[in-house]
Amino acid sequence: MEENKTFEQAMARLEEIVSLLEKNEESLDETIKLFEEGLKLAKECDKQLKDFQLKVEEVINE
Amino acid sequence: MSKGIIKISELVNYIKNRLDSDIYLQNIVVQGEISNFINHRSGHWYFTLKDDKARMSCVMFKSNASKIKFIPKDGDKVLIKCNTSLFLASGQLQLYVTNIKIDGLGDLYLQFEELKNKLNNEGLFDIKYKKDIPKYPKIIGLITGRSTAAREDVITTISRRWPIATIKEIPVLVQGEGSSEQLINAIKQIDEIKVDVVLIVRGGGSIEDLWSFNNETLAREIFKMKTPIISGVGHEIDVTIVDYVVDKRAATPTAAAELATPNIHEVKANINNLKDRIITSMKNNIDNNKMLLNKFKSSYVFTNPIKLYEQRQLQLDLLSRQLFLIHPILEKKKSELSIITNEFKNIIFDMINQYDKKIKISENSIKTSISHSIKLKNEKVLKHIQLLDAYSPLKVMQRGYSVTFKDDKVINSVKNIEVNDDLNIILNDGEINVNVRKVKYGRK
Repeated sequence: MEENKTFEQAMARLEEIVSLLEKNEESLDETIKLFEEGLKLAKECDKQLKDFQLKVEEVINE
Repeated sequence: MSKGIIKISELVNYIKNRLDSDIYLQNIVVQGEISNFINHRSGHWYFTLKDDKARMSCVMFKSNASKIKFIPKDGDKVLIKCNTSLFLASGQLQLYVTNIKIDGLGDLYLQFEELKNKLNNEGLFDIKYKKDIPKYPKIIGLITGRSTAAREDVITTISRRWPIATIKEIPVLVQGEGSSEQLINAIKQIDEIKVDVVLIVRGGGSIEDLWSFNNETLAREIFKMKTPIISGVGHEIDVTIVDYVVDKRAATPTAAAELATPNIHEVKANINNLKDRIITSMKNNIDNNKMLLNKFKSSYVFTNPIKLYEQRQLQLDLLSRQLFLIHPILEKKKSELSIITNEFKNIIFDMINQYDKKIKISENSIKTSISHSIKLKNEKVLKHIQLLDAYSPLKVMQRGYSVTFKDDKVINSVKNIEVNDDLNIILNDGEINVNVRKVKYGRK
């Protein structure tokens, strides 16, 4: 994943990848690349969300 | 109401009701001259209002009359605020006066109207020039009279509603000599210092009292201001030129202070509300994104990625199976071919071998037979030669043997001879013709 992707961009890309993979029309090589990227993005988004959540809690409790 | 015979009281009552419900006859301002003025002991005022063409009775009850700061007298030109009604007992049409003002200032009203129209035509009152009043002013400019009730009202209202605001005050004379100039200077001055909104206020009064607020220069200065300004001059009914040119007009000083400030309790409640809303919406946003992310993550492509290549696996399997189906056939053909080849080879080799053998055999046989034959022939020849040699008649005959012929045939047995046969006997060195006399079988 590129470093400067925003959460929205990452989510949009993830959605795109999921729909591409669900169609399963790409070559196997491409599919594996997409799969790998998708997993990375999902992990990254997960982490960002958790960070957001923590940040929100922190700000609320300030 | 029935058109039959009616009582006078019913008629009068009906007329009164009709008058009372006619909005064009209620709460109106009428101009005229006072005559027959009576200031009654009871405190009520009775007079006639007239002009050169008509007249009408007027009554002003104590409750209203006591608020008027002067006592009218006959001949006074006045403006009265009143309701039109009927006095039931006398059936008399009367004006019930609630307020009265000397109209000796007809000139002032004219001037007021003239200036108002002039500035209005120039567009000074245009709504498009009205500046927005800031919602949450930090510094409020206040132009008003020193230690007036209006000032108190404003200060109280601001400190009640919006105590966090700072008030910058410019005290001025609000009526009389020099008050217009002070107002003008105050406006210029307050527009220079940084305030968020300006209040220009004073309490109610007569048209003369409020006259300094009808000043043209003041109006133009206010129009030029960069700071939003709110006016609160007099009571509800008093309107000045300043009220037209300011960005917002309030009916009273208190109302002006209220327009300039939000209610701090409402603001706090609103802040809390907004805070709750952003927290909720932030949480919702995160929750939504979490759900969306979970939706992505729970897609079979991640939970069951086998499906990504399962299809291809199946295809591969199918192809493999097809290959396997083809393979044995190939193998069979191959082995058949190899069998046939081998057989063919064997046959060919066999044939070759056989032929080879045959050839060899033939060859040998030929060789043998030839050599044998040659040998035989040789031997024969040798034998013949020896025989020839041995049997050479000449040689034998040399030794005394002879050969007997009968009819040119060699006779080798006596059985072939009969008595009296003529025989030729060949000897080594010639022949003899003999006649047989006796034949005897067996040797001697």
